[in-house]
Amino acid sequence: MTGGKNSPKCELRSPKSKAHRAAVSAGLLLWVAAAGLTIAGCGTTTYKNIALPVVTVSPASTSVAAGGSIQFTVSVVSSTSTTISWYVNNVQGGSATLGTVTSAGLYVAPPVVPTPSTVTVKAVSSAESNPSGSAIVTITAGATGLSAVAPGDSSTPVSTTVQYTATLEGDASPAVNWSVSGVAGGNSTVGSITGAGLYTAPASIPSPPTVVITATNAVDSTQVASTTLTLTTSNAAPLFVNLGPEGNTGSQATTNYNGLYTNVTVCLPGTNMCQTIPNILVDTSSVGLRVLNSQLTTVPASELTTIRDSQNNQVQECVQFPDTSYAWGPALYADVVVAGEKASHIPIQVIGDTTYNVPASSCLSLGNGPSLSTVAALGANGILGVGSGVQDCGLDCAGGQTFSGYPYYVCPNNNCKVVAVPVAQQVANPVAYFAQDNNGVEIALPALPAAGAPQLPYTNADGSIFYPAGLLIFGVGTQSNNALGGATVYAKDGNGNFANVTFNGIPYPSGGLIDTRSNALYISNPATLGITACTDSPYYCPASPAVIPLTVEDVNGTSGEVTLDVANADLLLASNPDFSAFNDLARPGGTAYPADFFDLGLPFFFGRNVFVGIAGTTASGGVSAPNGYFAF
Amino acid sequence: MRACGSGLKVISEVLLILLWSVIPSWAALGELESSVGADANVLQGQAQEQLRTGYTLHEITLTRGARLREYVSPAGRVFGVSWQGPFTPNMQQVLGAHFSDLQQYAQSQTRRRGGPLVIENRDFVFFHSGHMGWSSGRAYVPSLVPANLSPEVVR
Repeated sequence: MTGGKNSPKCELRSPKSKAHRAAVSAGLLLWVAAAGLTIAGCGTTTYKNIALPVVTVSPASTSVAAGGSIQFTVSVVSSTSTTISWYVNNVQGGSATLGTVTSAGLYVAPPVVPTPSTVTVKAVSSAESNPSGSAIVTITAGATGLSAVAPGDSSTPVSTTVQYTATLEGDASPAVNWSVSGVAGGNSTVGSITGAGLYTAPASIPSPPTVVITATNAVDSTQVASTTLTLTTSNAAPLFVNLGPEGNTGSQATTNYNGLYTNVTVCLPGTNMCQTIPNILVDTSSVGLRVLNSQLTTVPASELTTIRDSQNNQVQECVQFPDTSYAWGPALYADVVVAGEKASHIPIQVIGDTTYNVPASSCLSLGNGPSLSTVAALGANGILGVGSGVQDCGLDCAGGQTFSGYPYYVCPNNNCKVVAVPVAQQVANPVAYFAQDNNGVEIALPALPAAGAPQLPYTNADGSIFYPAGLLIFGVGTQSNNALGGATVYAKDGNGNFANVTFNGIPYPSGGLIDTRSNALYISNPATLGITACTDSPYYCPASPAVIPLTVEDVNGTSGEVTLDVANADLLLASNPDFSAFNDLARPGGTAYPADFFDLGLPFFFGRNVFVGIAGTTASGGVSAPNGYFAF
Repeated sequence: MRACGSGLKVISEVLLILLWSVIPSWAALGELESSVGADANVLQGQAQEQLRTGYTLHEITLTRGARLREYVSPAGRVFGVSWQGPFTPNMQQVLGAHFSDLQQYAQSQTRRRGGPLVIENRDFVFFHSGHMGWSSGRAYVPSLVPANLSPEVVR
């Protein structure tokens, strides 16, 4: 019944759509608010019965949990064959808020209970006069009834407290029992939680660093709801993997599988006026913090200290990434805080500023790729470059010769031209400017199953399926939580890469690198690896999961083995359409021998502890690394 | 270089190096050597020309390891280009008319963040990789590569 305030004895005139005609024919009570319908003689005209084929939908009345599904069947008693169209509340195919229905009659309830909570699913025949049948569906608040634990997935420093609350439909203060990672009331390792939901974090980070907080309804133990909490320290920030702040709704060019994110706080230099910005992409292949102008709200870009050339023109920057995307906007001074580490008064870039026209020579040197000026295009609120550089350019941009591709500009009279910028005024790696733990970072991400994970961290309602977050740990060998241990140190060559990568006994002198920004393993080509590329996506699609063994070698001849998993990407993505984290997503990244190249993106990092050392530092073990290093 | 050195007759190679204090004529991919491209206006560095077996190599060396190479067939046409250095040269000037192939690719690529660029069209092969502070790549036109040469000389 849709609406239903109206008398059924109203004749509908001039119905404009098949759906309306169908509804009338079937004798449904239809509130005719829809445009184009008029009611004549309401209350006086007798309803007109028409002999029609009979359409029956079953089950006729049922309920389903939010997010659940029901398979409806339809029977049509008719002398002629007909096709069936499905509607939810007269919307063909349904909608995100009402739930959707397929052409085969599979109704999928919306994730949130709609208002009202009852919808009508209707099957309309293509036969003469469009006879129809319908069913009533009541959407309930999930199978558990206990709908949420607040706050949701979050992070907190060790030895701090977090107040949790549980929401039970129809009960303002539900009686629940709390547990931490399956331990009732928690313990000193994973943290403890009181009957009132006050969680006290442990004194040190547990392993894994993420715990599951679960509320169980005290009067019905089948009703549970869980969330995750990631513990951090002053030198360790949480690492999330998900589809980004706008999911995959943005540009296809920046699809956000394997997006690695953390939280970064930006402050006006020397003040306590700060703003914490979530969903900042963590990038080991670039240097410096770049934040979208649109995300700087409590700390607006207009209040950050400008950087100016000798003619008092404000310095702008354009960075073109090797995937053709580019970031354009001013360089400005800010204090940058990540976890408990602070880099004071360092240049950052604010991107998405439209004051000046984009200078083609550097922004577009690789072609007119996407401008990373919006959340949708960037798939993030900013980029935190924690590569080996101390500045994003260095001496190249500090004077002397300039050529195409230089990033720094001034734009007098909106006529942008390359400008030399002293090293100290170039966008800087915040890590190198921390007071301590400033010689590099460690990226620690959990192992994943071959099917991938919905996101990191992730837990289902009862905590039985759980993936922890990762950690971005500052410093190498400076604290108990960032020791190199048994990791092999690979000093970067002058190009910032492995000097050589060998596959199947053949060395590829173009080498390769590891790179958290790349969303897949960009490796070689189908002919070299002997695995097929997908026909309808840009990835590899081996007939069965492939294992690619590589030998990576550094500039000093130190070498080690790396094993990569390559799944059939079409099957992987089709089987897990909502997943964001994959350790076996790979695509071709080279033309042919010997120019093959190996860009080992985020999939490489799952299940590993990877260190990236800052240029000029010496790794423990005495390895000198003038260009920085990777270690794992 | 170690991977293909044996493929070239290095010993018999005639090496003629001319050092220029000014930029020589510099043409884009696919163009005649005699046509002067816009590159000359933006590329300031030391140029040299080497006669090799089956082709001529033009190279401009810029500061801090940056270099741009052009491979010219005996017919005088630029059949390949390569680049490396801290930044990406302006591909419009390097690729000439083939820049539109790159443009088309840049705008049609899907599900990408990061990673090298690979284009393998019937008559245009392009590879580019890099990260902040380093850029490297090559491009060639298969139909212009002299019959007795492998396109792998372009590197």
